[in-house]
Amino acid sequence: MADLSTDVLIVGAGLSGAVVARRLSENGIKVICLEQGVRHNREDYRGRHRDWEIAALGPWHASPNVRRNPADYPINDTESAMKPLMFNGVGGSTILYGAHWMRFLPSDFRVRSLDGAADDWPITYSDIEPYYNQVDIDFGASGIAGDPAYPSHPDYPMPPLPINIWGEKVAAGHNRLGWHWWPGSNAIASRPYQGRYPCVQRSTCGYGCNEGAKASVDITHWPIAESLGAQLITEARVSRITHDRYGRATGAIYKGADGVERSVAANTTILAANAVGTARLLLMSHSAKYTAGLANASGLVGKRLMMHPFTRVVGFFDEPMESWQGHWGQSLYSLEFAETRADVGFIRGAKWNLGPSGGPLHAAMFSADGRLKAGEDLHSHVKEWVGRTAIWGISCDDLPEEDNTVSLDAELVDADNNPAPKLTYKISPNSEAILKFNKARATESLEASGAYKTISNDVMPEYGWHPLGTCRMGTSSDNSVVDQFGAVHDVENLYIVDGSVFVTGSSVNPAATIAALALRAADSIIKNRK
Amino acid sequence: MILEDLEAQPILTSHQRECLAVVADKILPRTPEMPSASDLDLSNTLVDKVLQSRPDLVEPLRKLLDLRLASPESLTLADLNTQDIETLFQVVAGAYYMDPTVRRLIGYDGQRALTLPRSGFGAEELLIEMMESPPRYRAC
Ligand SMILES: Cc1cc2nc3c(=O)[nH]c(=O)nc-3n(C[C@H](O)[C@H](O)[C@H](O)COP(=O)(O)OP(=O)(O)OC[C@H]3O[C@@H](n4cnc5c(N)ncnc54)[C@H](O)[C@@H]3O)c2cc1C
Ligand code: SF4
Repeated sequence: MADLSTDVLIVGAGLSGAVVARRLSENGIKVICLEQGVRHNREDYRGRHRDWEIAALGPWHASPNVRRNPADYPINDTESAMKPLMFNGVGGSTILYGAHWMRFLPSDFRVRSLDGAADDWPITYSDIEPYYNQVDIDFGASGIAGDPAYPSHPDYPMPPLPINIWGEKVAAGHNRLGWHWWPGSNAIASRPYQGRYPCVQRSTCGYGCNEGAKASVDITHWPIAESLGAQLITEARVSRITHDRYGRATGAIYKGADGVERSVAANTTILAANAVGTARLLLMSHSAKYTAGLANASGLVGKRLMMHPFTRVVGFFDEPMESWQGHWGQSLYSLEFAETRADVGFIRGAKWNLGPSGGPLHAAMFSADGRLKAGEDLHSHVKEWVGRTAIWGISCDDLPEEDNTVSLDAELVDADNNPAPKLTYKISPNSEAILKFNKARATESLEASGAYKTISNDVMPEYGWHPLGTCRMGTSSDNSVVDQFGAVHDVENLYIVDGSVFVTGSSVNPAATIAALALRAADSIIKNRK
Repeated sequence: MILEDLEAQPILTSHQRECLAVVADKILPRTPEMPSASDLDLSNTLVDKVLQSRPDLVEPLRKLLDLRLASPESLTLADLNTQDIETLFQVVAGAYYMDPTVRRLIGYDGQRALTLPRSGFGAEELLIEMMESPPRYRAC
């Protein structure tokens, strides 16, 4: 006998888990969600306090290996050229995300057909478009429709946030160059919206939003789901997905805060533990029937990890712009070099987002050559940086490779003695070429916008914001783990709805697409029950 | 480590603080415009503030200082490994840039809550050029 039973069990209360819990609860389905982390109160965040920058390098760091909260599990990333970032708790990574709210480009779903590499998705942009429209509303996105880089779509529910002085400079620079730019679309309120306050431009979005202006799912989704009866159990770390003798998923086993192991029986089990956590859990759930791990008939669980290799170009301007303020969030973005070009020697491309500069400690800890500055150099570097810089973040479309993986570490374990995940990830020559080319172009962009100097890194390994793709969707278990609605091909009653189902990664930020796909999966689950 | 543990013993001994003061001045020395770390008495109240926020830094900092107690003057940053440099910079620069005088001198007045302008996003005219450009996504 299980300790608890439910219609639907969700593992993970982050972005995708919350989207599905809300939709299912709105349709009268009984949901239990198991989340290894705790609930956070907006007052916990340090953005309003003088120590915000130093706290951001410790208890509010986006790397679980640095942060080491009780909710975090360690990740062996020594063989990964990008270090994974995430947050474990109610709200998942949306607690710390920048809320850049981007749709995939239509070509992102057709990489094999258009560029002869990787794979096509089993769906197209138009299949997911209605769900993009809906999650714009559910998350309360601000922005302006009409970007020629996209097919037309309805207005965002709120107008864009200010692009700020540095944004105006870069917009003018891009007009001179004839390069694309567009005001940033962000899941951040620019007006009072469904109980959320408008953004106050404090720029501390990456460490939790004190104002609740940023759409994190602990405020946009969970209160609705819970008011409709969803049960969210925190400090509940799942160690295994269970199955019956026919191989059908039956629920999960978890350990609670009291250290007691319990089981939940469910008609449907949904994994929403992100591209690292879900692959890890499936591999941990191996059994006599599923010796290579659950849902792994394709052998692809944990494979094709994508991480969006990332770099920055910092532009220094000779006038004060108070660029430590503003949303972080994107002031504006450019997709000038996002699509494949004929003349550059690589396929796919990069998305650029322009953001504020951070405070003085951030400046002091930035190094373009791997060595921190000290002495007079440090003084002048910080003075030059603070309030007078704008930063292009460059996120590159890394194609999936079977050698880039999440596996189980042979030695490292979490606090409950479960094996920790190990990441193996190399940046491919194609990604290196994308980064090199885009770094050079972003430098030109800032120079054309009036920067008197720029500095940059070739790649910034510590910014692996977007682990994706470790349980890809596809048409059959020969080539994929789940179908286009997240249903696992070879295990009945089991779904995956998080970022692991991505076939290719695009260069744009993934949250809006994860949310749209999760909502689409939820609708399919609802439809199949009727 | 939790704060109660820290309170049971002084966060740093006076010896460790003296050593930190010497090392901190190597990172942030006095210049014609800026005070040095020890001008601000950084190794006392300011550092304590950092360590209250970051108890995880206490042990690595103590270890690092204890190894240098005998001759902090002779320390060069090149002698330190990456981890020690990271600890030291977080503590020293973290404390220095929390100081109100320093913030005033670099023109930084902290992260403030601002009211959003009601009049638009700020580059309406510039955007017209983009709005008028043809679709640029690949049809598929
Ligand atoms: C610092 C940062 C900035 C980012 N910025 C942006 C951005 O600006 N725009 C954008 O589009 N994307 C951004 N992202 C990425 C985005 O936040 C993620 O892609 C998205 O949240 C992933 O959603 P998910 O549902 O897959 O997983 P998550 O939101 O990561 O949620 C997974 C949840 O599962 C829980 N879990 C895992 N394993 C278990 C287990 N065994 N038992 C119980 N619970 C478990 C975790 O605790 C976590 O709460 C950012 C991410 C980070 C870390
Ligand atoms: S800048 Fe806006 S969204 Fe970001 S933390 Fe501040 S109020 Fe929240």
